[in-house]
Amino acid sequence: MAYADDLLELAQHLASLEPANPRQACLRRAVSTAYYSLFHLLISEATSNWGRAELRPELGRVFEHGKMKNASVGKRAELDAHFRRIPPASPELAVFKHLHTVAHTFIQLQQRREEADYDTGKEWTQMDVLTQIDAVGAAFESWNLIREEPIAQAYLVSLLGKRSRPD
Amino acid sequence: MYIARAFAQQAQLEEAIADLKPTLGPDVVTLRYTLGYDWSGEPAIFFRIVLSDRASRRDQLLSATNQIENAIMQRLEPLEQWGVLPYFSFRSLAEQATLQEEAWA
Repeated sequence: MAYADDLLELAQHLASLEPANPRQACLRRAVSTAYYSLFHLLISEATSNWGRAELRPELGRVFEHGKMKNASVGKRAELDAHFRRIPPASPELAVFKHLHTVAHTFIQLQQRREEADYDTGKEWTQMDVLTQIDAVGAAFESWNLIREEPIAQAYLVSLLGKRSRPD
Repeated sequence: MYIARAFAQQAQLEEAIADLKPTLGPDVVTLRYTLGYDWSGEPAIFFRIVLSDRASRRDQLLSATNQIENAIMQRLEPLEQWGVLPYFSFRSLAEQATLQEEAWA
């Protein structure tokens, strides 16, 4: 998980590098780096289940942004539907809320990264960037609390995407 | 061809968001939005929210933005009721006062 942690730290550093009058380049790189910290956290967690450590980086290359987004949108919608039924407080509900934080943050940051990297007409403010970075920090914390839960592990597998096997 | 309800019934969406805004509390100074498509081509609603300077303080920021995003998602149900994925951008009142962007006003 060290690489993901380093990326998050780098994002925080970039966002606060020029507190008085931050350049757009710093803010944009900060958002993009924050997204990649979460992206690599999830991939590293998924591939850590693979027994042969030397093959994990190769396995990690199988993950795709779009499929990870689709899985996250599906999981978030499923959890939102559950929350709307106003379930009683329970340890299970706490796990669901943490997983919702992770999936929601992933979806948000993926879009914001696209804007940060390619939409040069958009003006970023430091607060907007700090909001994104703080959200990723919270997603890291949530993930660390639930990483061994079956629903969290199933989410990791779902990030590979669904594909029907041809007959 | 599928058209998301948010695009097909924009007046109703406008009304739903106007009804929603007062329920979000005093920290939401302005709530603007645009309909469009996200990076992967899915229908989306992009919210632009100006926060009070109190809510924009670093120690309040995460809690305030989480609360607002959750409230919008639970009450408006952008995906379930309107067929669009919600995305959120925030800036402080002080930042908007400097930038004076019409899209956020």
